[in-house]
Amino acid sequence: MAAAIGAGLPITEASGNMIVDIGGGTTEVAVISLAGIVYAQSVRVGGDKMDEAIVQYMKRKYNMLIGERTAETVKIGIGNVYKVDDEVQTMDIKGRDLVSGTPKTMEITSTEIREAMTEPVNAIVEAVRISLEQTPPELAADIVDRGIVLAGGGAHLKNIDVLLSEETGLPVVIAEDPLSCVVLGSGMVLDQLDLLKQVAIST
Amino acid sequence: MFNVFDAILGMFSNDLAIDLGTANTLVSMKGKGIVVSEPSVVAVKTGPAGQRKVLAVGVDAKEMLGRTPGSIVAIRPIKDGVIADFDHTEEMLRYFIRKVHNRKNLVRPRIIICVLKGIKK
Repeated sequence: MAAAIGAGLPITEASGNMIVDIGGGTTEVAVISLAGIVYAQSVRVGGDKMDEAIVQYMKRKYNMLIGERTAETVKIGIGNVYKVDDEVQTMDIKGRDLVSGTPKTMEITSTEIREAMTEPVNAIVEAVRISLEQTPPELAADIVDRGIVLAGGGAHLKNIDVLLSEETGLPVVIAEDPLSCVVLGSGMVLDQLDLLKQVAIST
Repeated sequence: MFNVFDAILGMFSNDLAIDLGTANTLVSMKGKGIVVSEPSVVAVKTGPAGQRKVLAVGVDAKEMLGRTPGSIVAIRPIKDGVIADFDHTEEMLRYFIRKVHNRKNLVRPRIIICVLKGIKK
């Protein structure tokens, strides 16, 4: 919800907005209309799972142990979830060879990283697809026009918008400054306390 | 009655909005925009007598991840979108709030924080 406000979606209007927030630990998909959540789903797949998948992939394929920090750096550096052209990026990664036990450097390509991240990325695509299936038809019609908005750090992942748009057939846009959407949205309701009353959850 | 009191305090307080995320924590202040954007990591040193001291929070602590000796733990207290370690999360939030909130104001900040839809713990 906060991400939707931060991304500048017209959440108080009677029209469907779909927001996908790919965070570090979870990915949340929500359909919002009239300042309320119509449907929301949260899957425990996010940036961390992708890092983990890269670590596992390196271990399986090259018998090389790398740290999660390194995996994250690789993901941010050359991570690319959808093949658009034949451009292949490479990056040197350092880790420990499990066979000899010594540290070493290896060159890895963006194609391999894409392969490594397939599983977590597919889980996100699946979550979006399920949410679309559960959306009431009138709102689904609005989403066809407006598309899906991506927020969260995961929206920085290269070509994630192209992939989602390819898989769903809908326009996908990345929010301006996706990482800050949630905090900006929360800050915005501070300025508009009547809006806060509408969206706040009582405990 | 109480609302009036709150409203007056609200005029003086620094309103904060916090996004307590698994990977990054962001804090924004009313009128100032984003004031903190740091990784959600805390590094804690345990002394010989068991006393605990927070060594670093945020970017500095992230540098320590996976590079700590036995006496120091650098952890990410939030896992899969839920708080896995309350003590460390508390330390981290305390640090971020202190960093941006001017204690001399004597007014408690009004803080808004987001939760996950579907959280059940």
